[in-house]
Amino acid sequence: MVAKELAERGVDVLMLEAGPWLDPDRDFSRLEDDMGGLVDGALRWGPSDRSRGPWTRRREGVGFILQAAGVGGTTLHYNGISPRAYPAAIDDQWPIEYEDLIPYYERVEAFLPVRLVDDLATKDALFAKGCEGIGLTRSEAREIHREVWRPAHNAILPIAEMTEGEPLAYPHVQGCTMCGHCLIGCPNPQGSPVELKAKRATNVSYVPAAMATGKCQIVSDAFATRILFEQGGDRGHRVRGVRWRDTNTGGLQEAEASIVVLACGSIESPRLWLNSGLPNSNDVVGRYLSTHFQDFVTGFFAQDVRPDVGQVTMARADFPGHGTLWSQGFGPSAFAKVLTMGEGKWGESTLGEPWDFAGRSWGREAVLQISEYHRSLTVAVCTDDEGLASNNVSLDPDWPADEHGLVPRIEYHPSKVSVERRDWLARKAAELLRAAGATRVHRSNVWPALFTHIMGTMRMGRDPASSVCDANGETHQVEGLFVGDSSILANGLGGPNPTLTAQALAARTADLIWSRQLA
Amino acid sequence: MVQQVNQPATVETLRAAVDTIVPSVDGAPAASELNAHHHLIEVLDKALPSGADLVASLLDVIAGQTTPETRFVDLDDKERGKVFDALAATGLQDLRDAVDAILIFTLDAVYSEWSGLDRSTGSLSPPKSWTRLGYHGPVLGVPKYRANS
Repeated sequence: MVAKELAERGVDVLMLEAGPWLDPDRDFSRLEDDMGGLVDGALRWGPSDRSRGPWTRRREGVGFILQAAGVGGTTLHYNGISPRAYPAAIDDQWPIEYEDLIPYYERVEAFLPVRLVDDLATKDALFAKGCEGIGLTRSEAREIHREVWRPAHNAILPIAEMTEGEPLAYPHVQGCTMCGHCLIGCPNPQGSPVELKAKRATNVSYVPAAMATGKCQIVSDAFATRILFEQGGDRGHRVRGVRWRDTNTGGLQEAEASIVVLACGSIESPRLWLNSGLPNSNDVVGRYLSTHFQDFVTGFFAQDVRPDVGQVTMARADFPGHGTLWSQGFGPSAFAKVLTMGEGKWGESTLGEPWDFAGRSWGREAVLQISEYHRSLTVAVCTDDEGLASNNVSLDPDWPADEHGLVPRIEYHPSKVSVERRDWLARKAAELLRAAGATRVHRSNVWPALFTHIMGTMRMGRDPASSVCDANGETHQVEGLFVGDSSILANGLGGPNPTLTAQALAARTADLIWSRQLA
Repeated sequence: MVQQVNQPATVETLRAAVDTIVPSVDGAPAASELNAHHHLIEVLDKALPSGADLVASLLDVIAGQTTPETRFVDLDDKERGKVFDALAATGLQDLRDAVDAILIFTLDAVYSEWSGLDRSTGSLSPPKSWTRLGYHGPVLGVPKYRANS
């Protein structure tokens, strides 16, 4: 994002990506394990050479970490949903106001584009029925101040016009072909140029635009290992470049730069900072980790629902003050895990809660329930979790360092308020599913925490004692060092998915870099 | 690349583990009939050198604590489930990870394309689990994406 914005202004930009540069048509197989396998999938957190193991991190209270290495980053495996933050979560809590973000939201929404879905798949229509059954009204607004349900605003092209029996590849179809593979990389329409790939991940949107300027060089398989800096400047230190390691050859290279933008994500950005020995006099780097403390509630119906059909998410419900819910499509392997993993066991009392069974199971009963996949609708729960300084990313002193330095240690424990909000949302999801006609409801009760939205570890703020970056996205303690990923988010946005806000903030930061430093 | 050589008992222990997770139900194959234990061994060893031996040993240690001088393979399904529960209940992340890994990678083997994919040629025979679940597999698109439309 920042690379494209600056390159378009004539700035020479070097972009480093730790993972490979995959080609959607050649490399995206539409297969769950091949693409999404945690240990050796094409979109895993690990080197290009999939015969080698993944990169490790130590975890406490942390379960799955869904993080991709590759040009496109996490947008390679996200579902494309692009809501804005709830304004109430920004105003008076961030060092900027929600209205400061609006022109940048609009810029990103116009570019990708982000648009209201123009229809609902069966699963999402059922979700909508449930929403209306619990009294939610439909909204198409981008700004949310009250409880509503909405067709999703997705960074996905319009639904293609398709006819059964006719070819489903480009140029016969253009737009989203409703294949349901969003989470494992979108290659459709097959054969289309990158600018017409349906899901507007950054590898098919911002990256090609940056390359088209002729001013941006992208080096893949390049794991940044050190931010180079020196003493001096108004902030006490100033950046002077970056060192990286070629993940294939092990060779080290360096580049000098007057501006460096950290965009490694909320785990690796603080890790790189700490491994570089950058100043951290207030011990705030890596803290205030937020993850939306997610959960899943699944309903089973008498009729076919087809969780494998349509964009993974085409409808959502908003509950400012608690968080958000959305309809979640899955392939069968992901579904099986959501249904059979979590805290508690099937068969234990649900203590009067509105679900019939919860937590984990295996064996005959689990196999039979998994077989009901095609009659299931899963609702994802995304909590407005509290940012605590104790939830953090640090360097683990006990595990052996890997080839890039000391490995990250990630610790997360939800506050009592976060647990209460998640429980409230889970109950709401169960009510919604019953209103839609579900005959049986399961709550996953996910624990350890699922990490798909990872935010806040380099957060912006006015006070250097409790923030890493200032209101311009520049780090308080190092001149010329900016943050351009979701680690800069000052909180969990009230619950909505963070990608669009991270992108909008990055666009704003790019503007400020240009106007204040380079113009 | 060093070829991982596992302890002989590891294969049998993890075969027992995957069949506890996904037994044969109504004629559908048990996980080990799909070689899920080999998938589990492969990913555990890739994630951590000798990871499969470690996890198998862990199962035996907990089995011995539950029923003295007993190995995991000697337990029935219910008792094996208690071993999984005991690991999950320790509160120790690493032990919790071990039982989660058994669950995750067994389910991957059975419900993803893994058991039907010939990696040498790239050709796919859709797993029978997809037919049972009504999953459409890898597709270019779904024209009729809305029931009754």
